[in-house]
Formats: sequence, structure tokens, C-alpha cells
Amino acid sequence: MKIVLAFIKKEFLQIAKDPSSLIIAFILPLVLLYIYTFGINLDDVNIRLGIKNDDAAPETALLVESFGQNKYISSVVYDDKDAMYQDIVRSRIKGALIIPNDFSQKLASGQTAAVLLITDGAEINQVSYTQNYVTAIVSKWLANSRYKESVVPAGVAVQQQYRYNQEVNGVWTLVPSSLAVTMTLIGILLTALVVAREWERGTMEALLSTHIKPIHIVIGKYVPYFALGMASLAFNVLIMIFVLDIPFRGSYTALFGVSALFLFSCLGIGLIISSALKNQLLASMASLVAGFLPALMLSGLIFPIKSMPLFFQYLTLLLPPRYYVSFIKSEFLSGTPAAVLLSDALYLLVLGMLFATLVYRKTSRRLNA
Amino acid sequence: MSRYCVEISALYKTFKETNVLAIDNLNLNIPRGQIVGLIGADAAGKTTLLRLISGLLLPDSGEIRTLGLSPDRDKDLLNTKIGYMPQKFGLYEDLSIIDNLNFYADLKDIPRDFDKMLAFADLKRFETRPAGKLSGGMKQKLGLICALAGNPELILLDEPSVGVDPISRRELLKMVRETITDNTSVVWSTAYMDEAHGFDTVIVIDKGRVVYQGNPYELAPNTQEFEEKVIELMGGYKQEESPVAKNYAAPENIPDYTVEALDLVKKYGDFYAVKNNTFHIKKGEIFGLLGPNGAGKSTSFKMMCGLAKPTAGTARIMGTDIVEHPSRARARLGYMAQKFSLYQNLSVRQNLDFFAGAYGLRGNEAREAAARMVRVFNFEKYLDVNSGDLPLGYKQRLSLACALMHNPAVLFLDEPTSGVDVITRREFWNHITALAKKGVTILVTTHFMDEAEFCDRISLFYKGETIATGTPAELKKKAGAATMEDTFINLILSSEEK
Repeated sequence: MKIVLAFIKKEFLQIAKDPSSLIIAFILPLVLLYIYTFGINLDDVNIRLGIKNDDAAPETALLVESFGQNKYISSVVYDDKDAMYQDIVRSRIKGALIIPNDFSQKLASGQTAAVLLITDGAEINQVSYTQNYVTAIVSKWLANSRYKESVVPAGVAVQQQYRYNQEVNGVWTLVPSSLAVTMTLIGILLTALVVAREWERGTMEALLSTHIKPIHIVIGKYVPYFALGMASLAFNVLIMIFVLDIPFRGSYTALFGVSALFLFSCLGIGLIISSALKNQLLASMASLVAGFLPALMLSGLIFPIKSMPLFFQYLTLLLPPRYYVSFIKSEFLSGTPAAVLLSDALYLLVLGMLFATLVYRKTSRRLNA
Repeated sequence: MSRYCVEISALYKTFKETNVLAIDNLNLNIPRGQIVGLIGADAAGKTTLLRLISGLLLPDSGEIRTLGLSPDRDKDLLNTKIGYMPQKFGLYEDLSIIDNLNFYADLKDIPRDFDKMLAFADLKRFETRPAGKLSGGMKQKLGLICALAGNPELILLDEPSVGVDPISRRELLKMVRETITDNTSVVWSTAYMDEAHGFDTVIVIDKGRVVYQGNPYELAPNTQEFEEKVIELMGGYKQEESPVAKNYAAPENIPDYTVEALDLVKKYGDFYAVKNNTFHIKKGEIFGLLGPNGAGKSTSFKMMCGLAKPTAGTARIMGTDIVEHPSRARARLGYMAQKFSLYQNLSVRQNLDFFAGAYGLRGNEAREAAARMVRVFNFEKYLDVNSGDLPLGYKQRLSLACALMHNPAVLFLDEPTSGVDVITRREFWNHITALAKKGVTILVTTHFMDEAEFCDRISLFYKGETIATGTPAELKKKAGAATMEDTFINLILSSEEK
């Protein structure tokens, strides 16, 4: 017991004397929160759209005008088609809309009329947003125009209602999910270095010839970084709720409980990497691949898991961030139903225990066994 | 209780990754209550043997009993009875001296009582300084205190004095002698023959076997002869004409004074690392810089070869001012750094090619220079081996080869033989002295006092200042001492008194 305490105390001293671990735990999350709140916006709200109207009818002028009134689109009217194409090439505008000269004539005679929308296929997300906005604006205009009699009205109207996130505010789900990234950084990146450092600096060789046992080393490495991670979690949650005004509708017990389990599993991954590679540079690279990237890409944080290829969908089952991201989103927006909460918690616990066993088995009492 | 602290019979150990047979049918009984020196060539198996004794490694086959226990089955109990200091000692560099000590005290379950040891090692006043900011000698002392703490029955020290100056080395030995009891056994591996000669028993290991065990005085009455005997035991060394010097083509128009330091000063904040350093070194001279760890040798050295910018003063290499024209001056010298500073994951051939280019050799000239180095240093066998995997002796040769490729008239060698075995050192000095005869000016730093004797002139450094300059004989006379080591110590002590 005394040995474990001495070891934990030593780790804390090292954390306190090494500014990089404190920066990762407290400063980096601030930067991430800032980026997620103000920097990233998955809903494209302001698209510059070029419009060229070849139809002289007064009704189409109204259509052009209604593009100017939409809050998601800022329109630029062109007289010269070539000038508009050039601006697409130069990325001055994200899309171009051409209203052909027989547009109103066709509508008046009850035929199907078409507008031409040109978008940049390299920006997939933007293409679909632009398409949706333009369709919506044109339909609205049509419904109020004098051609409304001549087109067949749609039999069904869709009324949309968003549950949990009434404002469909991406920040409300994105910011809390960033906890997964922060916790992964502390859990994997930081701990991936600590055992490797002992090997590199030769302290491991000295340790292994004292009274210390592998179990002491394992506990001594888990506890301090667990404490650091939980402190960082509390710090992050405070900032989110009180500074960024993110609504929290779940239970704090569930939030901290499941986060603790998630952190436990991350620490396991970090320590496995560290004990296996014994080299800080390799370990930090490996922790990026095994920790940071999955937390960002395979967790559902940015790309929905349901839309991944099947292989990756199964792969995410093995990775802790998947359970954590879905939990954290629902916990903030509404509170997680008990059944889902328990199954997420159970998965994380099982993964954590599995990793801890591997860490213990990887912690040798000799130099290469 | 057995008369022996360690009993080994028919021991074998192979390293799987490299398939190297490190310990080859080794039989050894180490007597209790003695300080036993362990010597041998690089890669002779010294470190492996110490690790096998402590149970950090397990043998392939054979019997090993340490303090009557099996290092395999009784490792936990054994750990409580031994103090082990690995070569790369495990200090936590960001923790202070006292935090390091308290940590090891808690791990060993002993009282946190280090005042006596700290005072003895003269570390008391640095107690709160981070271990990473200590000089080499101080770090070794701190590591030794950790290993000695708790009065272990058996103390295993893996080259504790490597890279340490003579004064600190004496202090290390004194610390051990004063701490141990009559029943304590110490196994001390070392590359210093003078150190080994002073132990109760020496064990000489060669190619994983014991080739000698006994009283060092019985082997030879003095250090010099002892060294000859050890070299003989390790297969012998035949001095031949240095092929390196033979193939050296001196540049033309070498001035009489090739290296000059003019009032060199280096200040870090308020601290003078080097104060008013002046000397003029003649063509073909071997000039030795000696001094305790942290005396400012390396700093002076780096300023003179243009790696560090002087705060004041300047140096001239072959008449070219190092401050005004650093790259032109640097092009005229060859530099061999203290640490092995070649690309470890490049092969010997790739390193040679790279350095040929780095020294400005092109095309045929570069190919010829590389081929010449391969020939004179016998690199054929190792051409495609990564330099990081070379035996230590070959690493040193490769470093020297890279420094010599462009036939420089001036050679800077910063502790070129640190941690190198006695045979490799002989060979190395054979090259150095032969090169000097061909007109190469050589600046060298070293902690081996026998190497100091090979220098034409020596400058003794202490606390950033030159406290004495002269030929080895002049300095000995000045200090009134018979050996170089005593000269070193006397001169520093008398400078301290002033």
C-alpha cells in the first residue's frame, strides 16, 4: 500500500512539474470548445449564389427577389453568363442559378419549366444544402405566384418537427460530444507516454529491482491520470453549461458515472500502447491512430455510424468512443433511458476490464521476458 | 551461509532478436564481503551478467543463485536484498533530488533519512534542484545513493563511473566504501583500469566467459602493467601503423597556429560558463582539455568549432575567424561529438555517403573519400548494417571516419573514448597520435587520465577558467604529484583553496 501511494505521489509530482499534461487537460479542451462552438458549423447557413435571369417576365423578377430575402442564401445577380462561370471557378460564388428565357412562358402554358442549378461537386455537403434551399425557395415562390393554378398542387404537405433539439442547433450536440475527444486525449495520448518514458529514461530498470510489483505500477499509473481526466471533465462540463449555455437535461450522476467508465477504458488503451512499444515517439503516433482518430471519425461525432460501410460499423463496436458519443449526446439533450444507459455502461465496463487485464499482463517484472 | 554471494554454473543466454550469444557457458562464484570489479571488452556480457544476477533477465539454461536465492522464482524477496544501479540510471529528471530519494525510500520501504549521504556526496545544497539539471558526476552520485539506500546485502553497479571526472570517481568509491559493512558484497563493472586495479577481486569477462578471476595485484603490481595484462586476457592488441594516418592527405598552407582562442567568454544569465579563455595551439599538436564535469570544457569546445556563439571574444581556425565566418572556419575542421551522433537507422555506407556530401565533397571525390574510409577502417563486413546496430568499437570508428572524410587539418574530439573498452581505446589513440605526426592538430577532451599522458599539452579547466596549462610533465611537477590523476586532483583542490 505504501508503495502504491509513493508511486501515485510521484506521478502527481511529475504531472505538476510537466506543463504539457496540464495543458492537454485544461487548455486544449478550451481550444476545442472554442473551435466546436464558433469554428465548425456543419449546417451551411450562408451560401453565395449567382443568379442570371434570362426571362423578362415580371413574375421571375419576383423569384429573383425572393432569393435575396432568404437568410440561408446571399444572392448575386449577373448579367453576363461568362462572368458568373468565372466566379464559380474562382470560388467567389458557391453555385449558379440560370432562369431560362422560356421559363414563364412554359409555366403559363401549363408545361413543366426548369431552372438550371450549377454547383461545385467537390463540396458534397454544400451541394445538397444548396439544392434543398433552391428547391424550397422556388416552390414557395410558385405557390404564391399567378401560375399556382396551372400547376398540380402536391397532395401531401410535410410538416417537420424536431424533437430534443428544437432549434436544430448543431452546437448543442457537437460541443458535448467534444468531451469524447478531450477524454481520449487525456486517457490515451497522455498515458501512452508515461510507461514508455519510464523505459526510455531507464527508470523502469531501476524500478524493477526495488520492492515494486507489477500491480503497484498498474494502479500507480491508472489512478493519477484517472483523477486528472475527471478533473478535466468537471472543468469542461462547467464551461459548457455555465459559459456556453448548452442545455443539460440529463443526470449528473449518469454523466460522471459513464464518463468515468469511458476514461477507464481509454486509460487501458493508452497503457497497453505504452507498455507494448516502450518508445515515446512510437507510442504517441500509435495513440493518434488508435485513440484520437477513432474518437473523431468512428464515434458518430462527425460522420453518422449508420452511413459507414458495414465493416466500419462493426469495428466501432470495439471502440469505446462510439458508446460514449451516443450517450453524451442524449444525456445532454434529454437524459438517456435507463436501458440504453445500462447497456452503454456495461459495454464500457467490459472493454475497460479487458484492457486493464491486458495492461497487467503486459507489465513485466523483467526486461524483455 | 555460503561463502559466495553469487554462484553461477554453466550459464547460457542468447538474445532472440539479434541471435547473439551474450553469455556462453559461464561459471563463476563471487565471494561475499568484497568489492569485486567486473571488466571486459564492449559487448563482452557485463551488463547481461549483472541483469541475470538481479533477475531482470532469465537465462536460457544453467544454474544461478544470488544470495542463495533463485532470481527466477524468488525475485520479490531478492529485490529486498539487492541494490542495483543500471548503466542508464533511473532518475526522474523532472523531480528534485530529495523527491527522487524519498520515492526510492518508499519503494524500498526504508526511512527517508538521507542527510548523511547527501552531505557526504556534497549534494545537500542542491536538494531541491531537478535531477535533470545536475552535472554528470552529481547524477551518478544521486543514483548511487538510491542504490545504496537501505543497506542491501548485494550491490550491483553497472559502470557507475562512466563519463565521470577523477574527483567525482574517487568520491563515488569513497561513498561505497564508507556505507557498506563487512558483509556487504559489491559487484562494480568499469572501463577504468585504475579503478579496477584498486578492487579486492577482479573478474575479466570476454565473449560471455570468465577469463580471469583473482586479486588484481597478483595479476600486476601497478595500473600500467595491469592494463597490459587485461588486454592480453581479452585477446591482445597488436600496434600497427595506422592506416588512417597513412591515407591522410594534408591540406596545403597550414599556418603555424591552427587553433587560437582569444578571450572566449560564454555567459548564461549571470553565470559564467567560460571566462576569458585564451590559448594558441600549434600545428600537429595534441591538445587536451581536462576538468571536472560541468567545468566548461564542452562549452569552450563548442564555441571554438562554431557550434555555440561566444558572448565575447572569438576563436580562429586556420586563421579564419569563427564568429565572422563560421561556415568557412567549420569547413576546415572535423568534429566528433560526445554522443554517437550519426544516423542510427542509416547503414554504414549511407552515413559515409551522407557525410561526404555534408562536408562539401562531390562526385568522384566523394566516392573516393567514402571508399578510402571503408578500406582503412575495415568496414567491408558492416557496409549494409545500420550504424545503430554496430558494436560500440565500430561506432567510434565510424564517427571518426565521418569526421576525417574531408582531410581536415584540425580535429575536435569531445570525449571520444567515453564508455569504450581498453582495446578500442588503444586502437583509437594509435590513429590520433599518427594523425598528429602527419600535421593534424587535435583537440580532445577526456576523463581518462592515462589518455591525458598522450597529449602534448593539457589545459586544466575548473569553474569556467583555465587553472593550468602545460605539458603533462610540467603539470605533474607543478602539482608535485606522480600520477596524472593526483595532478588533476591536487591542482583543482589548490585552485579551490584560492
